[in-house]
Amino acid sequence: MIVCIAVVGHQNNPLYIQSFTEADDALKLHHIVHCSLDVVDERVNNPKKSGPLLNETFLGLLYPTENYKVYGYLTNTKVKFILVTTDLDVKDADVRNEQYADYIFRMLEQLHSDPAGGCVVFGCD
Amino acid sequence: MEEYPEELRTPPVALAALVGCSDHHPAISGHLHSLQPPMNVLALPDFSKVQVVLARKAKDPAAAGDHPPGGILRRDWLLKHRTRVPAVVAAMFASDRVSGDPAQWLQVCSELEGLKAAARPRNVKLVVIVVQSSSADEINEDRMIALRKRAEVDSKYLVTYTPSDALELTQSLNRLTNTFVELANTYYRDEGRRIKTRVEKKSFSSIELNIRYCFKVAVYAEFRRDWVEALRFYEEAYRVLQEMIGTSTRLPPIQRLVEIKHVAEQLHFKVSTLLLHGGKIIEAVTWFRHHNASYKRLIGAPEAIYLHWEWMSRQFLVFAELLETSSATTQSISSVAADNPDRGLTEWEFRPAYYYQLAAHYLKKKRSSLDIALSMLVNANEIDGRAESVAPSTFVGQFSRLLEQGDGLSFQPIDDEEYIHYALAEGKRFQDSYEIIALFKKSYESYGNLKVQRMGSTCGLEIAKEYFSASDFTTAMQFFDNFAQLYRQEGWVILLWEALGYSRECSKKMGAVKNFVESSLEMASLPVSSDDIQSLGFKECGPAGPPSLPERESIHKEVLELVSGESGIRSVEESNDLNVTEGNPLHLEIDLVSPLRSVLLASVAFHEQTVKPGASTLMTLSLLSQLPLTTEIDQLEVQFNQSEYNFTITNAARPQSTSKITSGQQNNRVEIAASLSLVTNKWLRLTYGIKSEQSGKLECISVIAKLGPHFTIFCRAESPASMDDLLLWKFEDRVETYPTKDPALAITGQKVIQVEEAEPLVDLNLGDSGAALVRESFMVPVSIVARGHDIYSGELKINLVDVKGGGLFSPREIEPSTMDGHHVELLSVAGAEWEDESKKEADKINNIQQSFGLVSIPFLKIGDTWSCKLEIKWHRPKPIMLYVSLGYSPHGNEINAQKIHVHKSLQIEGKNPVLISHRFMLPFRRDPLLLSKMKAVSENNQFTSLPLNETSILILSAKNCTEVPLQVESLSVEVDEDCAATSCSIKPGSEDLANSGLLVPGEEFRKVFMVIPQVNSSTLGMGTVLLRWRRDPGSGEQVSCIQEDSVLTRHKLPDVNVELAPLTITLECPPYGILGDPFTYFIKIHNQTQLLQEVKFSLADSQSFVLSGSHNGTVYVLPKSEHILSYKLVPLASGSLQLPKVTLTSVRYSAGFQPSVNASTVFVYPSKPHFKVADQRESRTESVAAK
Repeated sequence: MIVCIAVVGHQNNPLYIQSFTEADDALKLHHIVHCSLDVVDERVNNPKKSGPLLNETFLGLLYPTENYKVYGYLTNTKVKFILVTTDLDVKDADVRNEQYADYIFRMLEQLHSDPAGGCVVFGCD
Repeated sequence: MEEYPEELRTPPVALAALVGCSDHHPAISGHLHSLQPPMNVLALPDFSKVQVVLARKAKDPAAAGDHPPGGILRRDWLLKHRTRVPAVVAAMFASDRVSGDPAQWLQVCSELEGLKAAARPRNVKLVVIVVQSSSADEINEDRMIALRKRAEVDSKYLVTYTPSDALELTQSLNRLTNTFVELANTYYRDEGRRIKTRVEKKSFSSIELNIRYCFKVAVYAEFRRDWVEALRFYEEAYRVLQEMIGTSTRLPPIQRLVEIKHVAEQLHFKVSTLLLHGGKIIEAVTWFRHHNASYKRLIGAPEAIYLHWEWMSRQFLVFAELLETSSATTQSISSVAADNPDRGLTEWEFRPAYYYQLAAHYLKKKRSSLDIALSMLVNANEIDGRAESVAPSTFVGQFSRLLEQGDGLSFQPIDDEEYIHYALAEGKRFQDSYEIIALFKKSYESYGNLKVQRMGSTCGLEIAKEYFSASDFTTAMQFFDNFAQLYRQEGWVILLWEALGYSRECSKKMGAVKNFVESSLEMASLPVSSDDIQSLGFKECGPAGPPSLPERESIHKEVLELVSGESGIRSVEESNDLNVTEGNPLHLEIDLVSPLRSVLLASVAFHEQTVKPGASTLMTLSLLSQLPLTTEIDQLEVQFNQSEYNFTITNAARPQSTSKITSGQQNNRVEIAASLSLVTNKWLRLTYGIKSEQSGKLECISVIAKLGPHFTIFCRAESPASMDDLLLWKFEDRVETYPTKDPALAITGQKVIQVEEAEPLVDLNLGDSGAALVRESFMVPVSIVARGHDIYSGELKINLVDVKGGGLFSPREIEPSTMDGHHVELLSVAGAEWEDESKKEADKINNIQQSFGLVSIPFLKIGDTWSCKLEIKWHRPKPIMLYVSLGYSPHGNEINAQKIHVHKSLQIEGKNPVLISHRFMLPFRRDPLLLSKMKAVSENNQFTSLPLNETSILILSAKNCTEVPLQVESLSVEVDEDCAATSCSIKPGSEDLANSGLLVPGEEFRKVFMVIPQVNSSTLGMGTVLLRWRRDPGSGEQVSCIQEDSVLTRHKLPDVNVELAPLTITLECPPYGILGDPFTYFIKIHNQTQLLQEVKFSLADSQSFVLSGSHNGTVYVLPKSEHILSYKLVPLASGSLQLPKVTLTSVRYSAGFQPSVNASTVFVYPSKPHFKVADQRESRTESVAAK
């Protein structure tokens, strides 16, 4: 389940953060998104080390933390999309999460690159 | 990890027991300890102890198959095998006892029997050691065999031990060691196999035993260093344990889960250690992930939830420590991470910092759960009473009440409630805060080493929060301020809000007014809108509350009240009240990089870029604030780089305080503004006139705003043209307006204005003298007329600059002595008329250098004139630019008086006056055979060749290249000093000048010299042409500016090649011929050598002449003599005719030569001319008529 979507500018400034949680941990999600930029930086600066992700805009799982998993996506204009999900309690959750994240990111990029598109709030369930 | 017992933390160590001969125990055990891997030794002095050690407990849980076991793993099982149950027992007998009398032998036998009986049930291996006092000791062979048979050991397990000398001792010890290691391995293998069979055959009554057996097999495998099998069985045990979750009913639910987690922890620890030990870091991390995922959700009963968090925290901590100490992690983490794309591991999971961070996180959770659990207890004392005498029981992860029963102790099971009380009592004993700080610190430092800023700052923030809750505000504030900087840089407003909120609270508690006001103002001006609170569920936002507009407003209000002196804020300590009073004024500074720029931004723009002195211009001061409430400013002070311009603006709407903000000049200008209220995000524009007085730069430095009786903000002024955006507000939706009304000014406006100089009222004239000639002293007249100003302390600066951009002619440092370095040179300033001698001495700053001059000008009244001449000399033809600038002060000789400057420039062309050329000629109809000439055809004729001792003719010509007539005074050749007189004689052909020497532009002046070279040299210096000339005085219009002295122009003649001509031909014929009148034509061949010369000659026929004489032939010319060929010629035509062409070839030099065409031309008159000598003019006319 998605708990937070963030769009981060190329100077690592937050452009848009939306969290979808009942609990009062919006601030924590801010911290998680902020920290994930370190991983993005590392992946971008050491592209060789991240193996097959070399030419991908989808950065995959950035890091797991507590009950969350953080996924990243880097557009050509160095705008970052960060997705925070909660762990799924199903088998091969990782793979499914990853596919889902990739899908969301691609949708997000279309909206982002669309001049008419602004910040769109995603519903989630 | 430290809290684990040592036997769990370290790999198992085999145990051997030594019995008897206790003197030798230390040596043997010392040796076994030093082995790699070491072996523990249980030293028993006599045989009676063996039975005690090896005795089995009465009740063997494995044997009692019907009853379910009381737990999974026994707590002391590992320790038992390390310290109590030996794998090998060595019975030591002295050799004299073995070979002694029958009584002794019998005793040996009985001791051995006892040992065998004790060892056999446990399957402990037996070694018999016979201690020899010396190697010479003879032991009865039969007795030895008997001993071996009695002991029922293989012959190699009967070992002799000879400690008498070092060599023997070493050998004995090595023997013993080998035996012990071999037997220990056998023992552990046998034991392992025995239990493994049970596992494989599934011959166990309960799942607990299954786990226990797997664990034991793994430990036995570890004893044998069989890591693969150990790992396999630990994993199996772990797997089986997981099956137990939810199925076991042996214990009450809470304790059941606690036990399982404890065992799982132990098994997980073993697995991780083995994996990391084997360098399988990826497997270890994957395993940890699996472990974490399996148990993360097993939270258990809500009242014992803190136990779960504590356990989770420990898992992360232990794994972090393992990862940190493991040698495998020293290799590059990222390379490891790159190898495992399939497993979905991230590089972060290979870093201990990540685990420390989460350990700290879970510990925090544990603390808060524990606090809740404790607060729910009605009576705190109740815990202690009920938790008494509860202790860890026999099994891992179990706790029970310890009861004294007579002499012994017994365990009584407890129910969950009792257990929770016990656990709470235990939990209360620990100070989690320090532990949390320590963990976060480790993580923080580790991230710091990796230069991972943001993760580090998150940890740092947590540390700071811990310090904050522990009331260590100084430390906490340092941390908060550090991390606020990072969030500020990247524009993470919400996070910045949190950090600032804490920092603000810290300074409030510490009574630090300045920090409090700074962080309050920054928070109030953060771009947090009310939208955020609606969409985000902020609860734990620290002391500042959720980021929202109402919060900002309330913070702002609080600060305003504080600085206006209306109220103080009580801090924690009563003594540190926050207040701003007369005795405690507050002064903030906002510079160009300050985060407080959004609180107050001052932009200053002059409406013009430059202004004349005395004229007035406008200046707009604009102030912008993002504070949420409208702020009233009491007073503003604008400061300039020239303090006399400073002025103050007071708010008419506010009661005035008489005190100035700064203690500046008292006579400063004061303006009154109707209102000075700063509305959120709206520029407050104030425009005032400024009257400039002094020329130079006028810059607005700062604006000081007074907001309360004792609160001022010093704000550095910024130019609208170069003003940066407000960093945090850049991306916000807000109405952006210009700081000035005029949008163009908002883009180009500057806080600096240039006040120009006053208009000069002095004329500076440079006389134009046309082109300058090289080497003459060229005069440029300069005149100064004081038209409307007096001239005080005037200075004239003169600069010569290359027109082509070659810069100033001042390579003085490079060539200090030679004048050639300066193509154009300022020689002097002549004709400067100073008023009187004394003044001349005092004022004359007459600094003349090659391309620069500085001359001081005497005082001139209005209407006075002063003039001088610049004497400039060109060394090369070159155009230059002459710059003359006059600086003076119109009002007296004050030191700091404003100077006024007048500039003039003049381009002057430097030209060569004359072009000197030369030509060598040989005497008429005389041709020497110059051998070098023959060869030189190919060699590009470098030098002119001249025959030795022959007269040659040098014609020098000087052409006037200027546009003015020149008077040539003399033209001579100066022979070089080194080869004077002897080498060559140069004589002028005639003594006086051919004409008056006046050269109009373009005219050429010629002079003929006779040259007789007297030295045979290939490079003979011919000397230098000296041309003395002057400008024709009668022709110049600027006569006055040209110096009368004549100028000497030098021209170096090229070197010539002088050689002896072996043959010289002289053609002799009359000066003219008459048609039909025969004449004789002699060809004289002169041999100048000491050799006989064979010369071939040939004479070509000519149509114009009839000729008598041989056409060709060979003649021999004797040394130093002459041969004459004579021909009779009759001209057949008239006019200028070519004589028959003679060609000579010297056989010796294989060189042929012909006289030149000019030399063999003769003029033939049609009839004999008549000349009258008396009248030259007439004769000329006549001869013309005759033609």
